[in-house]
Amino acid sequence: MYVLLRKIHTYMGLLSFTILTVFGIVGVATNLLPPPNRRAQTPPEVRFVEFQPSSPNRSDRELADEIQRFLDLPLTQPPREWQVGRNEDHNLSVRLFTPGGFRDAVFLEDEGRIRLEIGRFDAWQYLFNMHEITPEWAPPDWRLRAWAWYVEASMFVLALMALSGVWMWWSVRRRSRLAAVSFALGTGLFVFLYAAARMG
Amino acid sequence: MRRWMREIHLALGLFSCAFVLMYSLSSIQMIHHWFPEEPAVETRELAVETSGDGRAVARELMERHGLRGELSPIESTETGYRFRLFRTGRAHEVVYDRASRTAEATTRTFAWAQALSWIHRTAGFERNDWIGLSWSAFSLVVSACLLLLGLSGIYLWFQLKRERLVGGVLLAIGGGGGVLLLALVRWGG
Repeated sequence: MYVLLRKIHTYMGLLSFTILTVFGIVGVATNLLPPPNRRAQTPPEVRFVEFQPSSPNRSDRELADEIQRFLDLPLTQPPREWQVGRNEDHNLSVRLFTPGGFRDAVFLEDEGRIRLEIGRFDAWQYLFNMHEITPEWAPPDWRLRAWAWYVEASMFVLALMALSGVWMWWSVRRRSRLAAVSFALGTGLFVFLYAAARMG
Repeated sequence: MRRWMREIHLALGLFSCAFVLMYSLSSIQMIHHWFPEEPAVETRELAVETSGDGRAVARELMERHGLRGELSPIESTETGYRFRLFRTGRAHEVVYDRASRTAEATTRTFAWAQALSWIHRTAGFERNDWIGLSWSAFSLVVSACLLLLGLSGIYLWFQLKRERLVGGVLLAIGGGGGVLLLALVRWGG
């Protein structure tokens, strides 16, 4: 049983090595770095693209979807309600996101073109966004869907690795004092903090 | 060396296992919502003696009435102030009425599943409640543990000569495939 469990523990760890590393980096970076809006940003790149809507009587929602399809920006998906609005000049604006950045499209109706602003997140924000992607929210792009399934599986793998690790310790190394102290310390601190948070 | 690495791997893993289980469970909850999330809500009317500003009201509520948590920005209303006191697991929404010198405090105690999600999201040290600071500190330590567990795990696997082939294939699929996807998404958009 121990040998089998060790194999499973090792194989799961090797399979999920990259995502577990991403989780670790994201945890360290989120705690130590200032929030994204206080970090140095790369200035966005601005482009103009000629565009005429297929019909003049489209709602903002329909127009936003048409703009998204027309621009055909990789890794984006049709905008949700909160991503569509009108700016101070009453031009339709659509904000699209990818894990690596944002795409702000403003339809300049009088000029018959779209002002497209392409912003790029820093590497930390990129990894943070990637660690959150799940199949439910992932755009249809195959790269993001594959990654989303990898993240989804890793959430379960993380629990299985923790449980199998405890089981292996208890079955063959339970006399190790260092291990027992580590387990008691970590679990005890967690239980204490959780209780304090719930009761305070 | 191998013996030491094994001890370190075991100690780090056992220290962080409760936290790792919390991260795993809360991630699953945030995505699948398998467990109930409705908070328990209680409203109380509290007498306030101070005639000072919103911060003074908040301070008195904390000192005299035992409300605790991180203070949100204070919003002035026509009749007084409105603010929130938030801590992991519990939030107080306070509406203070200057004329009657009373504060209506609506306390939401989160269900355990929602509390875990809040703990999961707690990070950074720009906060003033010791519980939040402690969660942030553990989040940092456990994240570092995760990185060290990965590295020591790779070392320990590589020492098992009979597992090198199968493990190498799995590392190439999971590890290499993951890095490839990260690069493709970064360059692709």
